Amino acid sequence: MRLGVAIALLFAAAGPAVAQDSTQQARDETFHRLPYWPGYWVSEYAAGTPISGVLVADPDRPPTAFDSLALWGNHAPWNDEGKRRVAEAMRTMGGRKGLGWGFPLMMNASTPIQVLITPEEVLIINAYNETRHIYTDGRDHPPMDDLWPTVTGNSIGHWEGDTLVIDTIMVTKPNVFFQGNPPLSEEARYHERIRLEGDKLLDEWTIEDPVTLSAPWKATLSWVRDEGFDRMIQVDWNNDRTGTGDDVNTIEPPADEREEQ
Amino acid sequence: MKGAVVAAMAAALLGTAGVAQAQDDSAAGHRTEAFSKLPYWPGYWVSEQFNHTTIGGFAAPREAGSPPLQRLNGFNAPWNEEGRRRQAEAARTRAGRRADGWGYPMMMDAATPFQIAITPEETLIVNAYGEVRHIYTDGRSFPAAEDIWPTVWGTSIGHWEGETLVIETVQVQMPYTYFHGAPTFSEEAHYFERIHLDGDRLVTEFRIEDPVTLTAPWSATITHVREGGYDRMVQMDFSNDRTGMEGGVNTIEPPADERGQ
Repeated sequence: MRLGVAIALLFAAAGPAVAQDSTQQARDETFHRLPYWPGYWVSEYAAGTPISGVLVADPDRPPTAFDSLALWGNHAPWNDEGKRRVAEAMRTMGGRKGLGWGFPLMMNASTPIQVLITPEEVLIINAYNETRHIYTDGRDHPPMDDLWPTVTGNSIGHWEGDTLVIDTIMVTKPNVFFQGNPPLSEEARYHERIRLEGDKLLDEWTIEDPVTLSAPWKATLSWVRDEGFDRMIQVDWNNDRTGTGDDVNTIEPPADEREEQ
Repeated sequence: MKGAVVAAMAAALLGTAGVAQAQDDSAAGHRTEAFSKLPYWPGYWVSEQFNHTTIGGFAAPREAGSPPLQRLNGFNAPWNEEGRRRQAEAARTRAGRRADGWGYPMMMDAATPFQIAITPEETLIVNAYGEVRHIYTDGRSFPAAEDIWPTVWGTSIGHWEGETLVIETVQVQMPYTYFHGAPTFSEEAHYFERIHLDGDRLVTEFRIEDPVTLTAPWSATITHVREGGYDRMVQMDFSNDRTGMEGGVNTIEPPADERGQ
């Protein structure tokens, strides 16, 4: 009897440690199966953008495989409401100042992104502190009474081989955060499939929005590793020199050359 | 002859492919091995000082007799004359200011939760305002002096001593500029941290050296606990900051959606 108790105690004591080891082993195995996408990625069309922010067309540069402005919405199947919003966005765009890229345009930008892959979550972070959390631990989206629109929305994902499949909902109207974003509604649903192909990351998008689109909008983005980045330098948006005057955008002097500072 | 050439080419190709595959497998194996030695600190951590902070911004009172908690605000730092001058100036101007976020180091002593994502090459510390620290643990040194400049979160490198993350951070902009509750260190400050898990708490031992503002190294230990109620990181774009100003003192503004916007 005493021996039985002793064995039971031994198992009880060993239990948490064994469980912990098992969890660790499962994490290690999952990690081993995941791809590794190091680097600082920019939309292929924007690779090599200089500090001026203006990319001069290089006639010798081969065209990118996909529409460089794929997510700007020029070719989206807008319905009447969508067209109305696009027209309004065009009318007011000149006098506005962005707060960052926001989602989805942070995925179609000259600001580099990094993709950090862990077993439970993939983080996509750009240099302006915009962070996407894509949960790959098998969870569903939270119930509707625990969800509200945010700039980067709520994302869940899973891996199909080496392809990351993402489902994003509850994105605040993207055009509010940054005037260059498509004027989708908060009911939009964003599906992505990201994979590495050679030295490029490809992202196939399907966006559904019953409010502004007449059909699912499909687009493919490609990223390349931008040259010259050996680390991610987070910038607090103080390098935005967008000015406004008479409803048109201007370029302000650098912050350290402005009189008020 | 032609057949032999084709066969040789095929063999060469197979050989190349085999070597490449072996290299990939070996690299993946090394990453997994490195990953398996790293700790896992899931959760959404807040400074113990701010545990159970309500939407009003005030933390629940701690139990009577609880040991005092240290802070990073620098009130008890060994300031030299320049440091005292800056602290006095900060006290004089604090009330009429509005923060841009927590910034470093205060994001490590905040009510805003952060998460820690650990991978072999890098550990990320990300808070709910999108403030991101990149701590490179791949053995690199700091960039050369001509390739480094002050930023809100500085430049960090680190390494693991067992399950303790040892971090060194330099080139942090004067923290008080970004957040008026932060200490008035100079950009020459050097921040050393040792983070480890102790039971259910994360313990961060800080040591800060600043030849411009301190007479001696300043040490402070900050403890973090997992804040209840978080099942995910919800990124905020700081639009929930309701700090207002009136007559040179801070006030609380109505929520954004009640300001007639």
